Amino acid sequence: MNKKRSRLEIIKDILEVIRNKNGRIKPTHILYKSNLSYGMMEEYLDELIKKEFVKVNQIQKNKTYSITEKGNNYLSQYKLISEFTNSFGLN
Amino acid sequence: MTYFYMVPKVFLEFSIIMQIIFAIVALLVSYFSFKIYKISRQRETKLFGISFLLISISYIIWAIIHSAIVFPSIIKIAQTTTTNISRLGGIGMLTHVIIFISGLITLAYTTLKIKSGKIYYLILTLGIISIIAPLIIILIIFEPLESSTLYTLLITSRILSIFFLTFIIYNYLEEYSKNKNKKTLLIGAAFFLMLLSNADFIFSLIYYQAYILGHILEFIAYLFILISLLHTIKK
Repeated sequence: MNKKRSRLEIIKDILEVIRNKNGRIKPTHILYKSNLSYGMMEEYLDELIKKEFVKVNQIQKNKTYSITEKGNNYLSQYKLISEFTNSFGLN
Repeated sequence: MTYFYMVPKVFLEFSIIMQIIFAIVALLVSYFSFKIYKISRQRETKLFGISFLLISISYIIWAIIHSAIVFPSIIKIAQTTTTNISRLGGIGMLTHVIIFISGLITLAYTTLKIKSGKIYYLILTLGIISIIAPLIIILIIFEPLESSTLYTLLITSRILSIFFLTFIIYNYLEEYSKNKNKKTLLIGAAFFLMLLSNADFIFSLIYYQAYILGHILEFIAYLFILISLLHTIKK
């Protein structure tokens, strides 16, 4: 059985999904790729928008998400963040 | 001030060096926590940084106060009388204790992983009241003897520290049972040593040897934290 993902891991997974789609992705794709319920995905996306890791692009009725520089920075420093929070019990 | 002269001067000098080391380690942890917060925007890392910053400040205050007592000529005090030194020591101790306990409370709140400012301020206020209330009682009801007031302050603060450290250790053990990370266990062990040193410091009011032992235990605790931090940032 897979180990339950931590909050930091889920954020990393969502950001990776967005980045792998050349920086633009529809919410349904995030839902499918990140393996989350719709409610949870919405909650995480709201958090990522607030933290300025992700940007919403609205073209008419279509909504897409793209990764920001801060989001990319999170991904590149993820190992350090994960190590630090694990060691100091902040997960 | 009876307390400050219970231990030989050389031990007080040793204590100042120790406090500076503890302040530096706590400041390093705080710095990296804020650095991680800047990247991850994770609330817990910010709170962790604040708690270690408070702990570091409390040690700096302690070191300054002890320096003023051990080397009154270096830090110029207007009219260096015993009363002035006593007052300075008393105010400094109270400031150190309040900031240190605030740091521990912030740390305990961080480990709770709840998001409620109200709960945080409730615990913080209760903690500070627990330090100040016995002092007021001693000063108003009983004879306002400086030594008894200081003993009360020291014992109350140590008991409070033991209480919050027990809580923090429990959370670290719980965290270790989940992630099996040896560094988490090391941090838990560091807090356990801090708990032992706090218990030991109560006896330093009777035996000055306990004062030295308390510092050694605390030194090992901060060494564990430093090792864990260095291993983390090295990767």
